[in-house]
Amino acid sequence: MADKMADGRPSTQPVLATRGLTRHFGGLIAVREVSVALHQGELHAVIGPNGAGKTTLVNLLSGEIRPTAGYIELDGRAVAGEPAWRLARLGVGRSFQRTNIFAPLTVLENVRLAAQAVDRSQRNPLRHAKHGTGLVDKAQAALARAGLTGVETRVAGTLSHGEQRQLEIAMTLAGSPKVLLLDEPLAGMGPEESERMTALLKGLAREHAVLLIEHDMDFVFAVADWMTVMAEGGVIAQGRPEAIRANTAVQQAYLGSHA
Amino acid sequence: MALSGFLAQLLNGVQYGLLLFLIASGLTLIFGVMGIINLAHGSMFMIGAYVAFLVARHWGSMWLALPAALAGGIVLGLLLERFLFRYFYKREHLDQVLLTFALILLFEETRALIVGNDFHSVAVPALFDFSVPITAGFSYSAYRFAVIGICLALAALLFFWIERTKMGAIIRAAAEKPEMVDVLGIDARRVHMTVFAIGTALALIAGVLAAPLYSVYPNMGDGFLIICFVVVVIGGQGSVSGAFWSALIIGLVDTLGKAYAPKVAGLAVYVLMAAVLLWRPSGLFGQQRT
Amino acid sequence: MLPQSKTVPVMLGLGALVLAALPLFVPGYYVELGSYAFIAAMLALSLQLLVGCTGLVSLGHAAFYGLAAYTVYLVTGNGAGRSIFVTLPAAVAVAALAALLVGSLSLRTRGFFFLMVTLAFGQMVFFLFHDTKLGGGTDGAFLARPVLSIFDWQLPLTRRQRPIAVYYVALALLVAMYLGLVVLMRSMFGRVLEGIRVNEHRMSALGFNTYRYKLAAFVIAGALAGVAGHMWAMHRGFVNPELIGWHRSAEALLMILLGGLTTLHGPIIGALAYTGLGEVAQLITERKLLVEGLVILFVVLVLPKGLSGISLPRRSRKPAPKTPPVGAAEARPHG
Repeated sequence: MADKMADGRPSTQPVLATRGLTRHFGGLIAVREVSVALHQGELHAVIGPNGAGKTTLVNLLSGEIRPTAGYIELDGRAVAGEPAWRLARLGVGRSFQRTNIFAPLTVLENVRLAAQAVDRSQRNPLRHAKHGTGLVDKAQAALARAGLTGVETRVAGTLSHGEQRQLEIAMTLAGSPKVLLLDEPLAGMGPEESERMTALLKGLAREHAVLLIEHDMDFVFAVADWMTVMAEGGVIAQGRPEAIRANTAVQQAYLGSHA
Repeated sequence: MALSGFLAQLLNGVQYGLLLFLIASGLTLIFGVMGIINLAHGSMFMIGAYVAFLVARHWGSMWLALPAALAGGIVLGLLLERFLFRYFYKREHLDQVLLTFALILLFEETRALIVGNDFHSVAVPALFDFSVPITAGFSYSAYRFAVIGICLALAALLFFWIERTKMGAIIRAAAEKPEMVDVLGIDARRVHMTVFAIGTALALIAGVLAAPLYSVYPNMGDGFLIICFVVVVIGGQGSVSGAFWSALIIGLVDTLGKAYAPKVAGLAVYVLMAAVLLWRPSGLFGQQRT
Repeated sequence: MLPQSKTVPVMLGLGALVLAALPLFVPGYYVELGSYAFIAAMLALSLQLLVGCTGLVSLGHAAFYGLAAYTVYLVTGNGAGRSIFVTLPAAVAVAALAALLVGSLSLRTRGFFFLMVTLAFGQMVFFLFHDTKLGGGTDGAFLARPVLSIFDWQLPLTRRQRPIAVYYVALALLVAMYLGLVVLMRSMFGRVLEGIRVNEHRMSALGFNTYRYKLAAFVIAGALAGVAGHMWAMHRGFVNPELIGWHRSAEALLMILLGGLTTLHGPIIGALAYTGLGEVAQLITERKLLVEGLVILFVVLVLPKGLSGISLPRRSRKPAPKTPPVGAAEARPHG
């Protein structure tokens, strides 16, 4: 743990941190010795060319897949190898690159389920779902936060693509997470929808520790507080956006080929 | 004496396991590549056994049944794929299960119409109707040796096809990543028909080989099908070599169990499956997914 | 999964009343047939909790049905009949315990592997009774039917009245099971099962331990199949390994598909229709399996949504609701 103050990063303990995180798939090393730290109130963007291991990193952090080696700490507690559902309960919320919702259910039910998932106050699981204490309120609040109101009774599968992306975020928020892992939240969005999402993400970053994967470089450099650049599974650079922009290694490995 | 008895049981177990492999490999290939479960695969085995019985009854020897099963299996597999299964790859699991269950009922009813519901034994072909002396006090059925040999030869061909040919590479990729099937493009249909034809032919050949050993009887496919499910579960998803080792293990456990602990032997393979599920739910030889 | 309109509950209520009145008008043979249909309906309904509600296709469900029936035999033997208040809890407890064991192992796998494992464990139970003398072996065994008694008081029934009593007990249990499952699927627990059916991966990403919920559903379904199995023993006074065989599990799946995958009343309608169909088919041919095979082919090829999926020309004044049927939307997520 080097002195973070020199970077101008918060000196507080990171909410979520990894050390030497590694994952093999057969002979392939998808993620190699990755160390990242997510701080409260910081938007941490992970960029890199396709196949750099970004989504695998998110899958490791969210417990979807187990690391082959390395450590993950959530609030100082070792959580590597915990299943996804337990990490979600411990405060790791994620959204998916490809929209992953309950298409045949209503919008409200999608978010209500998300609230129910982490709720500990319910003593009687056989209670009628409509009367579950506070879950519907919580769901409504998450929907409002994600800017998705007036569509509660619609079937989620009938929403527009942009609305479905917002629903993804609302579902993630309904779980009251400490950490948000957002895998390309802007994927497939039009310019107008992107703008709304950008505003939303900036707001979210103030209250959570956010890890964001995104391909849109203009967007990333505009919103990120801290960046990690990955290539071929490993980290090739970390730092503030301006430092990353100036980094020649990054330019060669990644930005150069795309600019 | 006890040692030679054990040796005989060991050989019986290997022979039984290899027969199971012929059936299970088709099951696992069809499942791995097309993502469909074919309950009627046991019926293919049953048809093979009855082909052997009918051929032996008409011509006195069942040898002709082997090429007949090979050709008939290929044709049957192609027809089933082309006119039925092809339309079910994207359907719900329940539809696939019931469709193939219906096929079992229809195949069994057809069998009942043609040859009735009696048990029949099939004579061991004269060429192999003798015992091979192994030691002074122990000899072993030449026919069982022949079955072991034929099964091993077929397994070798199958592995060559999967490991060394272009289509084999596609099949391996598809079994590991089911999404691959969609990006196979124009080749997909040819791959599907080939896999179905080969899988079906192997099950029919297994039936022919089994007929002199286990005789032929109604619903004989059911028992073999369910044991083959255990083989596939223990072997692991999409792994033909896994199915091979798993089939040998099951063959040995079942055979040795029946010889030395007949009272509990029927349950042994299921206990083994339970243990594997506890220890490695994705099978002994399959890839761990998470 | 739950009736959307008011029509369905009304129709179901009327149907139950008609069935309740039936023994007054029809000969004894049809009373017995009715009891059998209710038992089949309970088996199919219990399986629907797994198949239609949670998205788990099990091919070993008859194991719990058969185990419960054998439990009645093991509790009473062919001595004097014991009270249903002893035999029913015993049968249900054994079925639930077996479901806990089988479920905790088989739910470690997914999709078709789950199906293969449940089938294999079901077959294991089959062999347990087929190959040992535990329950009369291959031939099965007669048993003393459970009686309707509390403490020392027994409902006095003549030989002619007894099947009618069984009919009403089976009908009452079926209605109770249906209503119980309606309540269950509306509860928070039921919503989780629905979520698992639609998208299990997302459910665990949200924070649900889906394994536990599936196991709970599996145990409940096993226990309810136990109720059906108990009623079979009470109805026939006979058990044999065929009760456990996988053909019976497949038959229950067929009833679900026949009635419709997306509703709780579907399996009941499917079971009644299938039983009736069997009676009609008997008049034409003795080849029961041929009929069964052809019915399945017909349903799978022509009626993939089952009887309740048949759309009648709508005469309602209101336009059809925009909400697509739950199962339809799931089958075609991009539709």
